Amino acid sequence: MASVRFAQVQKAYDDVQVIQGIDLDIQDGEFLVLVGPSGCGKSTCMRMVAGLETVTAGDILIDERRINDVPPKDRGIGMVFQSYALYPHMTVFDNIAFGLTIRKMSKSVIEQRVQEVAETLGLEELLARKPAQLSGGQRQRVAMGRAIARQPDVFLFDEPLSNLDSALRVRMRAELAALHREHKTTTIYVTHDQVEAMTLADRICVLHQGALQQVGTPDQLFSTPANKFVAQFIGSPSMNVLGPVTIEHTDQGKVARHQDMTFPLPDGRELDGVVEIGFRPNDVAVADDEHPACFVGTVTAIERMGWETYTHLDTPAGTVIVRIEGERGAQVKLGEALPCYVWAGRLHLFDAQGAAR
Amino acid sequence: MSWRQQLSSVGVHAVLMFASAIALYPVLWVLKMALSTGQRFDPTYVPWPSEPSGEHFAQLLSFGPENTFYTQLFNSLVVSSATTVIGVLLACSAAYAFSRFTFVFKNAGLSIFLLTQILPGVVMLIPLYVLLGKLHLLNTLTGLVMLYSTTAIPFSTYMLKGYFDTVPKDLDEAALLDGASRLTIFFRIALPLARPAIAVTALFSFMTAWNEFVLAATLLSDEGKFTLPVALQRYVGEFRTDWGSFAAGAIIVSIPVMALFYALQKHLVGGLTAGSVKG
Repeated sequence: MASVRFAQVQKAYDDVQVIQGIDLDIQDGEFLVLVGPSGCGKSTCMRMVAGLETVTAGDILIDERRINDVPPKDRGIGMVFQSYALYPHMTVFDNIAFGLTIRKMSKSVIEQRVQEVAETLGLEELLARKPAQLSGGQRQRVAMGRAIARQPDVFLFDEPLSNLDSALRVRMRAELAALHREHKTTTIYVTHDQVEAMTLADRICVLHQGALQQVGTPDQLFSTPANKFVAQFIGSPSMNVLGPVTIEHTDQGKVARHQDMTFPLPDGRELDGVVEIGFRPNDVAVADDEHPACFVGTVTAIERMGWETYTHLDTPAGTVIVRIEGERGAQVKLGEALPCYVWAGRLHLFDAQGAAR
Repeated sequence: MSWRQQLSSVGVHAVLMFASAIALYPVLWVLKMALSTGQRFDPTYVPWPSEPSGEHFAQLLSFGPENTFYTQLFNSLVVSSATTVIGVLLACSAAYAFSRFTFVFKNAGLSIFLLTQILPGVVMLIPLYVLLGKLHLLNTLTGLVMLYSTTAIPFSTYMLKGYFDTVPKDLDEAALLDGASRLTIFFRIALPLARPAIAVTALFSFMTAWNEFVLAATLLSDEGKFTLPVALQRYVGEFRTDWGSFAAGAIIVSIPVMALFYALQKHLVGGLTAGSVKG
C-alpha cells in the first residue's frame, strides 16, 4: 500500500495544455474517484500515474518517491482498463499469471497466487477458458484478477464498469467496494458515472478542462459544492441554477429575485456579489399554506420513477426540474401550473465567476 | 421459393458454371497434355486424353545423374522458404514499429515503401543485374533470395501494419504494466495475435518467390542453380517443344502452392479483410 501525491502536475500535447497544474494528495488505503466530463483529463491523470503518459511539468510521488521517470513496471501499479485488455490468445489462468511469469516467480508461487485470486473473484471454473468464451462480467473479473495477482501498491481503474449492463454494473460495483474493504489498497478510479463515484469513493476529485475543481467526500461535494460546475455535475438530475438574481430586503427578510420568482434567503450568509442561485430538484416542494410559492411553473414533461416523480417545469428562468414524492407526484399532469417552494436553507449561491458563496 | 426466385437461382448457377468451365478448361488441357503418350495428344476439344499415360511424370521424377529436376525443386524450395522466413521476420518487426512507435521519417518511410511497389520489376532488372554482379552474387541462390526478400518486404510490411493497427494498444500497455519489455510484448502478445496476417504474408512471399521467372531467368545461368520456373521454360525450345514434360512439370510445380493455399485459405480470407472494419 502507498500514498500518491500530485505536485503541480501538468500535461501538454504540443501547445495544448490538458492538465493545468494539479495538486492532490491520496492517502494510503484511500479510494479516490476522479470524475469529470469527457475530455476533462481524468484518464490522462491516471495514465501519468501508471507511466503510460509522460509528465510535462511537476511531480508525481508514490510514497514520497518521485516516479516521473520510473518505468511503468517498477511503479507497483495494477491497472484495470476500460476495454479489459485481456490477452485474447491466453487462457484466464495465463492472463492472471502473465505478470508473475514475466517477473520470473516460481511455478508453485504462481499457481498458488492465481488460485487465491480465482477464489476471491469466483473464477475457479473459468481458468482454462479463453477471454472470448467469457461474459462481460467475467472478463471484468479476470481483468481485476490480473491486477490483484501482482499485489500492487496502487490500483488504477479506468472506467472499468462502463461496458457492462446496468444490473451487472450494480453487482460489480458492490464487489469492487467489498474488494477494497478487504484489501485496503490505495485506489484511483476514473469514471464519468457519478453514481459509481458517490457509492465507491472515500473522496471524489472533480476535474474540468484539466483543472481540479474540488476534492472532498461524496457528502461534501453534494451538499457544499465549491462552484457552479461541481454543483451541476454532482447529483442527478443536476442542480437547477438560475440568474441573474437581485438581492432585496423585505419585511420577511432577504430575498433573491429573478423576474417574478422570489426565493427567501437564509440568515447569516454572505450575499455580496451573488448573481446566481441554485437548488437541487429534491429541495423543492409543492407550495401550500405554510410554504408560499417561490415560483410557478408549467409542467412540460413528467418522468415517473415509482415513488418519486421528476417534473420538468417551464418557468421565467427556463426549465426547472423538481422532484415530487408520493401521491402528489402521481397526480401531476402535463400543462398544469405548479406552484413550488424552495427550502431556504438548501439554496446555493454563486458569484459572477461561478464560485460558491 | 417462388418461381421468380427459382428462375434467378437457376440463372445464377448457370452463369457460375459457365465461368467455372472457362476457368477450368485450360487447366484440364494442361492435364490432358501431361497425361498423353509421347508428344501426341489429339487436337480435339475434349479436355482429357484418349490414352492416359503417366510417362511424362515418370520421366520427370525418375532418379538418375541426368535428371536435374530434384536439384531444381530443391533450389526452388530453398529460395522460396528463405525468402519467406527473411521477408516475414523483417516485415513483422518493421510493421510493428510502424504501427506502434513514433519516429523521424515514419510517414516518409511508409511512402517510400509504396514507391518501390509502383515500379515494375523489369524496370529495375539491369541495375539489379549490375548490383549483384558487383557483389559477386550473380548466378547464386543467395542473390536471388536477397532480391525476392526486398521485393516482398514492402507489401508484407503494409499488410502486417494494417493488422497490428487493429490489435488494441491497451494490450501493449497492460503487458507493459505487467512488467513485459517491448521485445516480450512483440513476441508474446503481438506476434501470436497477428498469426492470420502472418500466414497470409508468408503465403504471399512464398508464392511470389516460387513463381518468379524473369529475375531468375536473367540472373541464373548454371542449370544446377535453376529454379523450377526457369527449368520449365527450357522445355519450350526454338525448334521443338516438349509439351508433355512441360505440362507435367507445370502440374508438379503448382502442387505445393495449391496445398499451401488450401491449408491457409481460412486465414487468407480473414487476413485479407483484416482491418477493413472495426471489430
